[in-house]
Amino acid sequence: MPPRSYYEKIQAVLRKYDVLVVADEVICGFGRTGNVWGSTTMGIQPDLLTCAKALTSGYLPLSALMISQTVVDGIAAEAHRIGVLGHGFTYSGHPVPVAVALETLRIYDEMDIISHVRTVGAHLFEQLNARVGSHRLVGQVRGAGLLAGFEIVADKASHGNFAPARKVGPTMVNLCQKQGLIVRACPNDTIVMSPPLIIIESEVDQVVDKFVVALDELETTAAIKD
Amino acid sequence: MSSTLNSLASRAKAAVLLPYSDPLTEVDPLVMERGEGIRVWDSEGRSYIDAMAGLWCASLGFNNERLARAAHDQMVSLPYYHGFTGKAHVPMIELAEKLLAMAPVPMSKVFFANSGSEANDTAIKLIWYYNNGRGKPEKKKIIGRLRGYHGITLATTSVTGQVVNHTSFDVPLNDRFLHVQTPDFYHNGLGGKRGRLCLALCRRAGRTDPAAGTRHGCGHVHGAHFRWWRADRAAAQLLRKNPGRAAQV
Ligand SMILES: Cc1ncc(COP(=O)(O)O)c(C=O)c1O
Repeated sequence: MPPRSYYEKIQAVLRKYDVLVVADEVICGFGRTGNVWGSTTMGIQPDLLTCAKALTSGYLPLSALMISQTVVDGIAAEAHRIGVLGHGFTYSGHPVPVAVALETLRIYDEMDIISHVRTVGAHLFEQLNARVGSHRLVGQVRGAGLLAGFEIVADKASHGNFAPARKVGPTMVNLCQKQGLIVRACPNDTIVMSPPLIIIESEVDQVVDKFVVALDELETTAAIKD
Repeated sequence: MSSTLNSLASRAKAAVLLPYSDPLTEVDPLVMERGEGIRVWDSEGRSYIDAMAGLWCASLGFNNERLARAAHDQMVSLPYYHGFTGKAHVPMIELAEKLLAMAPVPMSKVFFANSGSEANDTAIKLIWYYNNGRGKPEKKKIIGRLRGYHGITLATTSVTGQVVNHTSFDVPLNDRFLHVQTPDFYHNGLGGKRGRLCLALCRRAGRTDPAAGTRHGCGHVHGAHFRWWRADRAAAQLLRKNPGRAAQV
């Protein structure tokens, strides 16, 4: 995680040097971080924005790119000069995924997904900080809304990770899977989760219970001990 | 776990080039069969809480009936159409309007694609197109992040900052793609005496946020003491040296 005002500051530098900002909202779009957009959570004012995944709840493939007026005007003028915008996919805006996206967005509105993510996300981080962050092997809990990760470290004080060859992250993922929990390992032995946004608090507790069991087991494995 | 010859897992390994897997691994893939709420079941009947929603996808869980019905209804009324050469259709218009109304900042138009990679790839192509159109054909640089992920098309894999996506794929494509450091304070903030001094100054200035007030308050201390900030200053300097050639991301 960057410090809170990081993006505002870096964006000021980019603006100064006429550098466009593209927000990749493929994961963060549609409520994941507790706002509709990750850009809002991070204080980013993008010139272009891409989104996908939760746009259709992943049920059908679809992505969208939004473009600011200034950039659209430039593209339109160039395409007009050439005679046509020579870009597009056979399935750009395919009616079936688009219809599913419209229904998905309707459901988000009806269930007030943003409030739900904020409430359940607050519970998730409370649980993670108290029960996972306190574990001897866990250096940091991070994330926002219902996007969370924790980093497994060899040394809590120096934030040092285990050697990648020990495959601590993948070992943890397998231990979780044995508990009936699917998560993912990212660089630096960071275990990440991004559950369905409809998850409720009691289900969050079940996830955290499984993390705690798996972490205790992890301590006894060759990945950590030898 | 070894698989019997005709198990689904062994057939998966035999017939599918599975993404992000070692094709020669001994480990069997989990073959998923059905889902309900936040859970999925494999072909052996074991259930899992899928705390990844697949790949950050199934936000409404794994059995939303309304989405199935929306797909079915559209399949029946107009199962395919496109937006090429002066065509459009109703769902496309409605979704574009809805997305523009939701955008975090005013946006003008929506372009549709099928994947995150394609949307990002289109962003890159259209930025070059835009810059060519406004008489800055030399402005091509795209700045990504180490460890960032933006997809795997030729252009987006070059923006992605992960080693496995680059190795042996002949990317990054060319000198148009730069990578700056991950803004990860946990690892890249400077520790030690000077780092602690900096944090202490921030706290005294009433800021819990160590990057706050870089140009005032405790600013100088930060600028000098956070490696990530220096990396981005280096990027900024690079742009300054070559202001005509900077693009974005
Ligand atoms: C942030 C981000 N951008 C882009 C992509 C690429 O999307 P796709 O796999 O649909 O091409 C992903 C996929 O995980 C992603 O997480």
